[in-house]
Amino acid sequence: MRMKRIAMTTSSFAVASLLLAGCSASTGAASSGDLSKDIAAVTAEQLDGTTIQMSRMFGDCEETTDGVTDTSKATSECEAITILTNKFNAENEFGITVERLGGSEWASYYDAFNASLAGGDPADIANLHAHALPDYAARNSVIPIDTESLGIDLSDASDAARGGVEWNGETRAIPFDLHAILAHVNVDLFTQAGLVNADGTPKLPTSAEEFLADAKIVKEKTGKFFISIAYANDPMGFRLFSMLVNQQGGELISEDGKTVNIDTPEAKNALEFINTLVDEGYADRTVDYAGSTAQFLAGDAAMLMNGTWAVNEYANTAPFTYQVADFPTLYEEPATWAASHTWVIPRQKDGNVVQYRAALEFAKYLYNNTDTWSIATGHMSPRVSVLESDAYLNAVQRSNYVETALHNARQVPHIENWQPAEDAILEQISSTWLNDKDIDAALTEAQARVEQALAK
Amino acid sequence: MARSARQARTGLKHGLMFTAPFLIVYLVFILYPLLQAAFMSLHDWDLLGYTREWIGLENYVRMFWGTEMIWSLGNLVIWRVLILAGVVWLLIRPIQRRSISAGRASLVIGGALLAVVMGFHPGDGGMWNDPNFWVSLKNTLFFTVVSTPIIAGLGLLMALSLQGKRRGRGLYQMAFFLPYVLPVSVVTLVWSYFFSPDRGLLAPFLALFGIGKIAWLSDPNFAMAGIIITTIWWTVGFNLVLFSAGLQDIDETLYEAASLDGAGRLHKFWHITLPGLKHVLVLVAVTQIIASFQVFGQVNIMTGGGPGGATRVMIQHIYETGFSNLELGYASALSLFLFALMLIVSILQFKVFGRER
Amino acid sequence: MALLTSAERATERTRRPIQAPPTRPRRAPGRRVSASVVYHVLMIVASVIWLIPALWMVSLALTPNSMLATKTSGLIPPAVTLENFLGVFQVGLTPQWFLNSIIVSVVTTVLTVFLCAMAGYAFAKIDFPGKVLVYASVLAGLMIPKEAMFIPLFTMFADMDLHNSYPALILPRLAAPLGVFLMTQFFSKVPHEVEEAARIDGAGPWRTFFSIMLPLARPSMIALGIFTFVQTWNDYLWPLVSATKREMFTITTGLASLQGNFAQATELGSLMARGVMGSLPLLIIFVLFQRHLIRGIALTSGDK
Repeated sequence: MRMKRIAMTTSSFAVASLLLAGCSASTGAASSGDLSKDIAAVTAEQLDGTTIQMSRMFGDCEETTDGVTDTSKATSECEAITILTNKFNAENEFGITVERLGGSEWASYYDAFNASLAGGDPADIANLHAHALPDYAARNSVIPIDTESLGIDLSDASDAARGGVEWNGETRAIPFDLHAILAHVNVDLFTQAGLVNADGTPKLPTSAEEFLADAKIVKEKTGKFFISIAYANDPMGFRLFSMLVNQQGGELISEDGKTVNIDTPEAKNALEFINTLVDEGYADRTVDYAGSTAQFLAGDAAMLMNGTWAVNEYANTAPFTYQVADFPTLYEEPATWAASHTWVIPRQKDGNVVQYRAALEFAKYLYNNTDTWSIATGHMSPRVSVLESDAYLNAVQRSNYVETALHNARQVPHIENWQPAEDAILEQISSTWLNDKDIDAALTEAQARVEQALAK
Repeated sequence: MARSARQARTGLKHGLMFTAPFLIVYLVFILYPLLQAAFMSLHDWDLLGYTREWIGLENYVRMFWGTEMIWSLGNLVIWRVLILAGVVWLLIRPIQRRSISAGRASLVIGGALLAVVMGFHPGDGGMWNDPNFWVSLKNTLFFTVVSTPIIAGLGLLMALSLQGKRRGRGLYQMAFFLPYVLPVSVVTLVWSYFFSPDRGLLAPFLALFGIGKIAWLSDPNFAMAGIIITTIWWTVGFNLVLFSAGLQDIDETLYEAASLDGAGRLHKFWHITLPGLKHVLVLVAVTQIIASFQVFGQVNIMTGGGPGGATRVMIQHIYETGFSNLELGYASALSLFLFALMLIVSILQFKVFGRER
Repeated sequence: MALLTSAERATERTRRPIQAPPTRPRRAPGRRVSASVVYHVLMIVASVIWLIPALWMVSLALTPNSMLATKTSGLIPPAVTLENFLGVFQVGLTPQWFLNSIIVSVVTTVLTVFLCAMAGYAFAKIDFPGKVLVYASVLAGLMIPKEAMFIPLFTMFADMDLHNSYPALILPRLAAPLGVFLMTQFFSKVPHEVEEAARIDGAGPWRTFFSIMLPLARPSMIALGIFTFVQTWNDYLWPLVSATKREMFTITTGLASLQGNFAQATELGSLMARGVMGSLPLLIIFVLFQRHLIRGIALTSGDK
C-alpha cells in the first residue's frame, strides 16, 4: 500500500512537472538542488520591487498597527508580527513589499491554507506549525530550503527548533519560535488562599495529590476555580492530557508515528485526574479558549493553563498581581506540551524563483528577528543566541519559565496525519468530561481511532 | 406540412437561443458537479493531489459500515417500530382496495428495508468506521426536527398578530423581518456575544428569572440550543412573510360568515385559518427542511461543530473532511448521501402535495 | 412540488391591489380604542424585544473601544463616538470586502434575472421540440442542493485556475432553476394577443422580448432580483472555500474571519461597527424595497 502510494505520488509529480515544463519555458522539471541553485542565483536587481504575499495565523490588528514600525510598541502576537512586517517593508534593502498583512485565527487557518493550495494560488510565504509540516512536505506543497546558500544560520537554532523544520533530511521550513504551555498565576488569589512560600511568592503544587489539595483550599477559601482550562471547543484538553502522560514517562504516539500507546495505565491516570478537576468543581468544563481567558482575567480562577503567547499580554493587562510559572510537574518527569511556529514557502505553479527568493529573504529577516518576536510575546526564540541574551532573559517574566525553555518543552511527534490523530484523541477524551463517556471506553476507542488515522 | 416544419425549425432556433445561456450554466454548474461528485466518491482523492486512486465503493463502506457489525432486533428499536408503523399505515388502504400505486409500493418497500437495515450496528469491541458521520447526521436531523416546528409556529403566530389592516402593521412586520436580511456572519457576531455568560446581554436578563450563568456555546447541553435560537431569530421573518401572504389569500367572507354564526376566535382559527393555510404550512415545512439539512454558517462560525461534536452537522462534516483532512473523495461521498437524503425528502413532499391536489 | 401546483395563485396575487378594503369589526368606539392601544403596546414591546440583539450591535458600535475592553455595556451606550465607523473605512480590508460583495451581488443579480427571464420566455412562449423534457429537467434541478455540492465545484474551478476571482464567486450562483420557473410562470400569464400584436408589427422574437416582454415582466424581475441579491450577499460557504485571499473575501466571509476570538474584546466596538456597515446595503434595500422583497419571497417560495 505504502509503496504503491509512493509510486503514485512520484509518477503524478513527474507528470505534473512535465506539464509545467510544457507550459512555461522558464521552469524546467527542476530537482530540489537545481531549484535551490536558481533561487540562490537571484540577484538584488531582480528582487527590486518584488511584491510577495503572506498568509499567517495570529489574527488581525490593523487598527493598532497601521503604519507602526517601532517593534517596542507590540503588545501581542498579532501586533508583533504585523509591526515586524511593516518594518521589513520599510527597511529591507531589496525593495521587497510584503502584502496581505492581516491573518486568520488559527482555528480556521489551515482550512483556508489548504483551499489556497488546492486552488493553485497559495501565498508566497506561509505560517505552519512544525507538527503540520510533514503533511505538506510529503505532498511537496512546500519547497525545500537551502539555508546555507541564503545565509540563514540554522546552526544557531536549538535542537528542538531545528528538528521541527526538517523532513526526510531536508530543511522545509524556517523556525520562528518554540511555544509551550505555562501556568499563569493570579498571585492575589494564591495569597488569599495562603498558598505562598516564605518569600511571598505563590507556591505551586508539585504532585497530583498536592494539586488537588491546593485546589480544595482555593475553592474553600476563595470560592474560585483553582485552574481555568479551555475544556470546550479547544485543544487545550488534549495538551493537558498529553503532558500529564509525558510526566509519567509515557508517550501517546512514538516519535516515528509507528506505535500508539493511548490505552495505557498512564493515560488512564491522566484522564482520571483531568476529570477529577471537573467533577470536584476545581475547573469549569464549559469554558472555551476565550471563556477561560476571560475567567482568569476577571479573577475567577487562581491559575490559567495557557501558552507562552499570552505572557506579555497578561503582564500588561491583568488587573491583579500576575506571575507566570513552569506548568507544575505532577508526576515523575517535568514535561509540558510544546509546538513551534515556522515559515514555509509554498510551491507555486509558475515556479518563479524571484518570488521564492523574495519570500525567503523575508523568512530570513523573520528568523533574524526572533528576538523581537519572543521578547514582545512570551514565545521562546528558536535561536540559542537569543535565549542566552540578556535582553531576552531580562524581558518581563522570562526568568520564571527558564525550565520550560531549556528542559520541559516536549513537542508532539512530527509525523504525517498528526492533526487527524490529535483530533481523534481530543474527541474521545473530551467526551469523558463533556458527555460523561466512560474513561476506559474512551481510551480504547482513542487507541483504535488513532491507529486508523495514522494508517492512512 | 412544409410550413409547420419550418415553424418547428425556427421555433427550435429561437428556443435554443433563449434557453441556451441558462442551460449552459445549469449543465455546467448544477448537473455536471453531480456527476463529478459521483466520480470522485469512488476515489481516494486527496485535496492536494497526493493520491487519486480508484477505490470502488470503499468510501461508502467507510460511511455506512463498521467493525464487528451485527444485526439485532433491539437496535434503535423505537425508531424502527415507528417506521414500521408508518409502513403498516400506508398499507391499510391498498389492502382494502386490493391495489397499490407504484409510488406507495416503493415507499412501503423502502420503509421496510430501512427498518431492517437500521438493525445493523457494531457489536462488542467493534465500532463505526466514521462515527462522526452518524453524529453529524443525528445532529442535522435533530436541528431540523426541533427548529422547523418552532420557526413555523413562531412565524404563524407573528403573521396572525399582524393579520388584518391595522395601522402600523407594516412597521411591525419590518421589525420581525429585519434579521433575515443580515449576513450570517453579522448574526453570529451579535449572538456569540449576546450569549456570552460574562459579557452578553442575555445572562443578566435570565438572572432576573433566577437562571444562573449558561455557557451557551461551550456547554454541550446548550450549544445546539444556542445555534437553534440564533437560527430562529435570523430566519423566522422569512416564514412570517409566507404566512402573511397565505393569510391574505383566505377569503374574508368566510370569517364574516362565521362571525354571523357566532363563532369564536379559536373556532375561526381552527376551522378557517388553519385549513386555509394548509398549503403554506406544508411549504414552510419543505423550505425549512431543505434549508436545515444544509445548515452550516452559524455552526462553523459560532462553535465549529463543538463542544465535543454537539453541534457538528452534515455540511460541517463534509467541509472538514474535504478541507481539514484533505479527503475530497470521501467528502464527495458524504455530499452525495446528503443529496440523496434531500431528494427523498423532496419526493416525499411531492407525494404529499400530489395527494393534496 | 409546491412550486408546480401553485403557480397560478402566485402570479395572480402579484397583480392584486395591495390594499384591500378594510373590514372593521363593529364594536363600541371606547372598547375599540382601548383594545387597539393594548394591541399596539404589545406589538411595540414585542418588536423592540425582537430587535434587541440588532439594537445592541448598533449601541456597541457607537461605544468607544476602550470602554468595552473592561466591562459589558447595555443597550444604551455610556458614551457615543463615531470613531468606530470612521475606522471601518480607514484601516483594514472592510471597504475592499464591501466592494467585492457589491460587485458580486450586482453582477450575479443582473445576470441571473436576465438568464431566467430569457429562458422563462422561451419555455412559456416559444414552441420547440423537446421543450417539455428540457423544462422538466430544469425543474428537477430544484431538488439539487447547491450548498451540498461545493466539493466538485471547488475541484472544477481549481482545474480552471479560477479561484480567487469574481467569475468564481459569480458563475455558480447563476444557475437558478427557481428563477426560470418563476419567469416561466409569469410569461405564460401574458395574454397571447400581446405577442400577436408585436408579430403583426413585424417584430422578431428578440425585439418582442426586449421591447415588450421585459417591460411587462419588470415587477417579477425586481422581486426575483432583490431576492437573488440578498441571497448572494449572504452567501457564505462557497466564498469561504473559493476566495482564500483576504482581498477577495466578501463582506460575509470577511466579517466571519474577524470574529474568531472574543477574548480580545479590545476592538469589539469596531468589530460591531464593521458588522453594522456590512449589513447596511441590505438594510437600505430592505427599507426601500420592502414590498418587493416580501413579494419576492412569497413568489419565490411559490405559495399555496
